[in-house]
Amino acid sequence: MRRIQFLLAAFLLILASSACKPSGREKPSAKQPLDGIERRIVPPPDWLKSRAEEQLATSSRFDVFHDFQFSDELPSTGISFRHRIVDCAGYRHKAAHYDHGNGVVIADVDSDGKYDIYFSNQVGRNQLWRNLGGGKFEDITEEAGVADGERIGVSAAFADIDNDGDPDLYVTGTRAPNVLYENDGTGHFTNISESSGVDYTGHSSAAVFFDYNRDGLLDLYLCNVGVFTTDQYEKVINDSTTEDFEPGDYYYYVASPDAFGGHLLPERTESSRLYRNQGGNRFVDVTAETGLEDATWNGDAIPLDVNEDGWLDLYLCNMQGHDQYYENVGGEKFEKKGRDLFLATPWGSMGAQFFDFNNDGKLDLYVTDMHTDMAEDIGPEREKLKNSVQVPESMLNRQGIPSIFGNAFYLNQGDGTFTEVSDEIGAENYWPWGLSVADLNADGYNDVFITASMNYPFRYGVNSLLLNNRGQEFLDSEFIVGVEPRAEDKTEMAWFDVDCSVDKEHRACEGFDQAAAMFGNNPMVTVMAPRGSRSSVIFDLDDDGDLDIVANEFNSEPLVFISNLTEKKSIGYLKIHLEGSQSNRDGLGARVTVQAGSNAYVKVHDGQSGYLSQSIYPLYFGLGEAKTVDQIEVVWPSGGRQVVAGPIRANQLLKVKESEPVALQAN
Amino acid sequence: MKTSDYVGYLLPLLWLILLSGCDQRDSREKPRLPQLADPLTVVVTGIDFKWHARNPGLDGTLGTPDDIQTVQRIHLPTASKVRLELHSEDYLYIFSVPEQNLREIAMPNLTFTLDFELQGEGEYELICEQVCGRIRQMVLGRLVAMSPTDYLSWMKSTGKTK
Repeated sequence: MRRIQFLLAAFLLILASSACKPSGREKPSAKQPLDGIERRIVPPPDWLKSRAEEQLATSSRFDVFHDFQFSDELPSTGISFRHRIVDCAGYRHKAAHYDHGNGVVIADVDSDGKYDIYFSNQVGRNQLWRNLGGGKFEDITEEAGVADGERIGVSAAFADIDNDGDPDLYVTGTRAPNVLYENDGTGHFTNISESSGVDYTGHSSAAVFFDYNRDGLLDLYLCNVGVFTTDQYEKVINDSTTEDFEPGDYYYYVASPDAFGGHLLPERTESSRLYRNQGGNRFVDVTAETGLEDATWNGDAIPLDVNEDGWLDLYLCNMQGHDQYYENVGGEKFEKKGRDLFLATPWGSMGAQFFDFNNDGKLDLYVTDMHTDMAEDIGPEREKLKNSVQVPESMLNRQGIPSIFGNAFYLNQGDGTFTEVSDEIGAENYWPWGLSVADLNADGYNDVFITASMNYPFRYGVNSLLLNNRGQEFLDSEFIVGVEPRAEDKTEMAWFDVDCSVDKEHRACEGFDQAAAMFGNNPMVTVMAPRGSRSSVIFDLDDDGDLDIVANEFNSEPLVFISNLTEKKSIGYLKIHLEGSQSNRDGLGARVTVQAGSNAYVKVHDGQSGYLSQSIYPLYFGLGEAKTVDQIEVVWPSGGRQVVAGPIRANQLLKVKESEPVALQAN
Repeated sequence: MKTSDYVGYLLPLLWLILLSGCDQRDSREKPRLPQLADPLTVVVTGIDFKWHARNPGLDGTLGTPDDIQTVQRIHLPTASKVRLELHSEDYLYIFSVPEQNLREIAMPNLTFTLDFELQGEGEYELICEQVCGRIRQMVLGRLVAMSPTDYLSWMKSTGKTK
């Protein structure tokens, strides 16, 4: 297609394709030539402006520091990755799990001390971008050997599976063997999937590395969603909207039209798998023997030591039903205890994080719920409320167990119980995916970034940035700190083309005859749709001491939010890089407590950041006004307790190696 | 017994017989409408984002040649017990009439039922909600709630014109 008739497209989309038209959206204002193609510029919806104004007006009650900004600096990074989708999320849209998108992960793949970014793609190559320093990156995908472009990708996880000091890489996909790459330490990877025993083929989602049996080797928990595709194998459509993507012909399995009800059909269950690392880069499936066979439609999971017995338990996010919590019994088996600890869970969980919300030394659990938000087309004014419309019980299939229809926040009471306080502390938002937790303003309290929005054919949804108000509540801050609105107000983009003379039944072609009579007979329509994010990772991208955010979008280029916090304020922070010896080399599962004056900050090193993603990067402790740290305590997965005595100068990266003295720099 | 006594008994008897005959003639002149089943079962199937309905015809039995089949208009009587048998041939749907507090899903390979009595005549939009992967504004059909008499008339006339 080389010509798009703007007026016809505009009229059709206004008249009939309200799929792309949330309430209150303004009419297209102008047309913009793009590579010879005329496309609409859709201004942001009216409510976005008013919502920004309302939020900005609340900042006067903020006690926490918020006078800093994020700006999307993607163009200056050199990153040209662009996420692409299958047609089941576009031209042939249906409610299916392809719309969950893909992960983004970081690790220092070439041991140069800088953290590189790996974007997972649904259609086309995954891409590895080497961090050159100064906020610049270069594409090293091909030389690294991790493109994996023939498959429909989903997630990625970095982990040092062989304890040789470099991050290896595991990537999952839909109905193609998952791939395990071994890193040679220089950023060159070898595919060892078949020999490793983790080349599972199915509807895989997140991959979570943790050492469940504490033998010093990272094991793998592979989340599998459930059977949501048919055997129909089709080529992804190339049209004018895909000209900005990498060229090529790609194929995918068409989604089941009833995929969203798949949990009602037992034959579509696809249990997640636990693989025990046997050493020598070989894994064995121990799902059954450890009691982890589970019918959950499991998209993501987090390891967490809820009962603080030293053995990592598992919290499974069930995207279509109750979440599950499995308690690790001595590294031998897992016991299902979800109803004991978390009786009511979100019905449509996507992501979870285990962290200390109020600096009481006890770790709390935050779970985001996306699928519940499919039940209701709510206005922006109700986004902070739980859903009022529930899908029928027959759909919920919850057998009398109560559910939460929205996000959950379980506050650790310190006596082995949790209290759900999501509404009290402002943890609700709309159409969330996964969450990343980090101290974005370095004040000592963990803040949260939540990717959100569902794209076509729904309305635009804002990514959430929640500043932690000293452990009392979360404050909506995405407009205050510049995460919203998007750069140049670009909330929509061209999604796909339709030839209404051929596909007259397409929803975008409703009303075409009337429009054609008014504007001529050009049957070509470009359908616009809202942008939206899926996964995110928070780290100090430009090494300036504050935390930046990278988000993998759905069918678009990524967001690279660079923080100017250190330009606005003198901050105190400490980055801690763990290196296990008896424990796994990454130190995943370690619990670190930083003591600075009268304040103690606790973090668990789990690599979890964002939906469908596991990264290897240093822990970041914001220290508030403190400029020195008095003590660091590390409880390693091996069980060893290590204390690094201070004073320790703030604003540095400190390497802590298990059971070895730490070289401290003078204050 | 005197003759006048016979007349006294016979005249009322004759009158009753005459009246009875008139009643029989009246009833023969009324249209013959079938009784509605209790509950009235209607099969509703989602196909390509349209509701297809199959109501029993004049024989009152589903699955016979005189079933009445409609697309995007589901006719049901008010103040009568109704059972909808919900199916889908493709997508997951929600059959929803918020005004009547009705919500149930339709899913391929599964059958779900809705039992209810409609209150109030009128037409109700059957909206496909977000859970169907569609936006709220998409109308999959209309529910036409009719008085039992109108429903019977519709059934008779529709059945005749099939």
